[in-house]
Amino acid sequence: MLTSAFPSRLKWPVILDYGIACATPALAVVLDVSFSRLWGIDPPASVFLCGILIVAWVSGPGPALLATALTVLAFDYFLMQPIYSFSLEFKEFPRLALLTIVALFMVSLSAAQRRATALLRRARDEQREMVQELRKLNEALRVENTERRRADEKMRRTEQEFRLIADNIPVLASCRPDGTVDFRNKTWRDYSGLSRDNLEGRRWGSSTHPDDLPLVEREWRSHIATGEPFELEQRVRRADGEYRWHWVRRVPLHDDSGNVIKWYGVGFDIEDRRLAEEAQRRSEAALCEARRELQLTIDSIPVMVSTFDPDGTRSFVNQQWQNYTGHTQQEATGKGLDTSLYYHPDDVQRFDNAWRIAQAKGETLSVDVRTRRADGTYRWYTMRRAPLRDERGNIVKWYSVGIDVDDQKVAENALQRSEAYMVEAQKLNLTGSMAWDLANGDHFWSDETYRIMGFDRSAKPSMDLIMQRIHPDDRAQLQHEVDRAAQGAQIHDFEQRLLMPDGQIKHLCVRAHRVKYVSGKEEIVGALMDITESRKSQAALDAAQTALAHACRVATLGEISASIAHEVNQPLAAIVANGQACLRFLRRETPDLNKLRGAIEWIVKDGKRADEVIRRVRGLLKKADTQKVLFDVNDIVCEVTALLQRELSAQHVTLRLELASAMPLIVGDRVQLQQVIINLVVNGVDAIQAVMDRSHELLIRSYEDEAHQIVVAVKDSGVGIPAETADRLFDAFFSTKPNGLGIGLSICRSIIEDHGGRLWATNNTGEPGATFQFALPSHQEQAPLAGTSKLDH
Amino acid sequence: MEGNSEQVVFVVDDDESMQAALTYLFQSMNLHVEVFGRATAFLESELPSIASCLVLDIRLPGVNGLEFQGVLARAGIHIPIVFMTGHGDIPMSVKAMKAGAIDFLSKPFHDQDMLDAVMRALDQDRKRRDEEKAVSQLRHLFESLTRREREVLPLVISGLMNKQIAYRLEISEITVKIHRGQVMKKMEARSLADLVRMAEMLGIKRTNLQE
Repeated sequence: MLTSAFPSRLKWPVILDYGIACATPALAVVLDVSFSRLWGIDPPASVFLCGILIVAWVSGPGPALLATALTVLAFDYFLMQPIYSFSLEFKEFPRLALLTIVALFMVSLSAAQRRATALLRRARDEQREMVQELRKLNEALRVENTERRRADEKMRRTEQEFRLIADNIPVLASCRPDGTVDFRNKTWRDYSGLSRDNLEGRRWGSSTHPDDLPLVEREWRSHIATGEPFELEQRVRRADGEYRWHWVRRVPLHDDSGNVIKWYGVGFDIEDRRLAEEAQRRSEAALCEARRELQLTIDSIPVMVSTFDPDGTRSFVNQQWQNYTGHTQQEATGKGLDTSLYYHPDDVQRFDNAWRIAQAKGETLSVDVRTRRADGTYRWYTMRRAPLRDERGNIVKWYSVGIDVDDQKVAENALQRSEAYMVEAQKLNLTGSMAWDLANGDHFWSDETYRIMGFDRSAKPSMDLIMQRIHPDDRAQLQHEVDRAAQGAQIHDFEQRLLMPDGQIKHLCVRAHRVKYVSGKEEIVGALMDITESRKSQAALDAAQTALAHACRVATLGEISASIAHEVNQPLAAIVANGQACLRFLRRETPDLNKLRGAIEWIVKDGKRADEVIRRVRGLLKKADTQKVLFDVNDIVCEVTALLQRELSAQHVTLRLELASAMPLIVGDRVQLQQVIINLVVNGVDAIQAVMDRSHELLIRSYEDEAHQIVVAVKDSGVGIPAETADRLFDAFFSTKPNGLGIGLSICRSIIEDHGGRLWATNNTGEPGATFQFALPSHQEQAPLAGTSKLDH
Repeated sequence: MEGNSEQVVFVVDDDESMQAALTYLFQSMNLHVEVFGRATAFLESELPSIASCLVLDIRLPGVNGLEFQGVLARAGIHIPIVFMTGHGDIPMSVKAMKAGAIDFLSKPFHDQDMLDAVMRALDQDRKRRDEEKAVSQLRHLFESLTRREREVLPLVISGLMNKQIAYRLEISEITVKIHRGQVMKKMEARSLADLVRMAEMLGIKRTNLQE
């Protein structure tokens, strides 16, 4: 009864039971104290007993026992004299003992009641379980009954269906345990085109492909022996005679004792599947091959290939990449890799920025960056990274290739450098370069060309622009060159004058040639050199040279001035003497007219002679510019020797002339060549002076050599050329003479070279002395070389 | 035939017109002229024994005038020389004059200068020739002396007395006196002074009295 009232009591935690046990005596104490204080009633013990009773009822015997103990203590403390002390007066003892006994009794009662309640509950639960089980059993029987009915129904239907299926499934046959056929379904019969009779009692195989027959026979035999099911793929002949692959499974049916009572066989036409499989296998192999090839290609192309995920994580690198960097695929791929591992420290920042921007914009990146090779050297690579997008336009991958452009880069740098050099060089030697595309008339000018032509860099170069600058007198010549270019001339070499806007005249030396490129394009490529300054300095140099030659000539004449004076004096003295003789003859009473005539004739002759000498000397002393005329070299040899005759005889030198007759004429400056001969003769005489022991001889020869050059040789019998001075003979300011300036021979050489000839000296072979000689081109030889040079004939 | 046949002017100049001019000039002075182109040609020619002079150009082919002067001197040809030069200089003229040249004229020269020089040269040569003639006469006389007379002569012209001469030659004073008279007579000397002059012309030196 109590348990039913508090069905959930059991759920309380034990600690709560004991809590109630503790709280109840406390409550009783409070009530008792309240009673005594408020109403002055003597505190009744029954309140405590009530508390214990409640505890026993609610919480059971254990907590009740605790409540009892606490109650006894509380009772002793609060209600028994002396109050608020655990000590006990003797007279109070019976009261306490009574209380204790009553309490304990109540506890024992409570315990007994509880035990009885528990027994009752258990009996009721067992009964309830039994009813439940009976109900379940009943249900199961009913279900079983229904099932069995349904199975019977199903079996019936199955048998019908089997027939239908047996006739309709692809190929079905049954055999007796020895393998002889006893049934074939309609599909089979229709398929093979064989009648039922034809099949009875025969082994499977009449329609088997002959090549498969041994296999089928073997399998059959082994499996009949073991009674195991087996599967075969074999070719079966269709009614139209075509053999098609079939998958055939044969399963034995056993009786209860395990003996085979029948074999069932099903076959499926797998020809199409086989073909499809074959095709798939082939395509897979092809795919595999293609993949392998692609991999090989990616790994073997000489560029670094890598791929990146959209977040910039490197996901793949090819073999070339690994070979170059020396990092493996594992090291190189993955998140958060440091790019400074791969690129030059100076380039990392730039490259990372470019890559960030490319990623942000989704644009193709192309950056030249120095990439670190496994051995630590850096080479220039062009890195190109391009995004792959899906159909929605999202980037799914980045493909990156790195192409080694180091050689290109080096070449590029070298090219830039050489370009810079060229600009400097052009600036330095005032040479501009230009190109003229013949097909479209485009011109290209270098900076220096613009500068020389005096045009701004913004001007578009053209033939008209050039013509603007060309000196009016030279335009025809340029036009001529342009025409030649149009006619296919290979080489152009000419000089032009420019008339600048400020009136200044520039001299240009232009050299160009035709270049044919592989593309078939043809250009005139050339250089133009501003030779204005060198022209000026050449002119100054020429003037100085002329002045020096003149000075030298005067000096040489000074050396032989005594001879020249004598040469002039001689006829003058003769004239005077003759004149005086004439006067004396006239003073006679009968003048001797014959003698007078003779003397006067001599006077005239000597006058002419003196004039001749003076004219020659004046010619030599004249400070005239070079005048090239046509003359016979023998003439000037004779003139010079006439002038030097006296000097030679004074120095006791015998002069011999061996002049070839009918010599070709030469073109040159008479005075200058006379100077050369005088110099050579005077030098020869000087060389002879040092000789005492042999005859003093000087030979002047002229002849035409095998190269048709006119040679004049002055051969002396002097001391010859010492070996140590031979090299310096023609050097300026080198002299063996005590008072010599050392410019004579140097000037002679420059005069001869100016005439297109050469001057040289050799010691005589087989006899003492030296020979100085010069060779000059004859007029006929010189004419084609001289080209357009003007001659004063 | 022009000029005085008793004298001749030789000209050596390699210049043809100069040769002609000098010929006319000397002819106009009535002088006999002979012209040579080269010094050697002159040397090879036979010289007449009449008063003559040489007009010589300094510059000559082969050998110059001054050298030729030396050559002539060494050959004992005492012909007076008048030098001509195109442009003479002082050292050259001094050298020429020292070597006994009559004059040194630079071309062109004044005809009178040339005439004077040539005349002077001819006079000198004539004088020399006269002297040479006298000396050869004296020599002839001198050769007629005996050995002892030739020994006595230098002592006499040295101013020694007969006694001193006798002592020196260890002969008697009388003998000396005879020799002396013989010398005076043979040499046709009118006085002692005359004899001394003759001895000088002959190049006989006086005996050193200290010896």
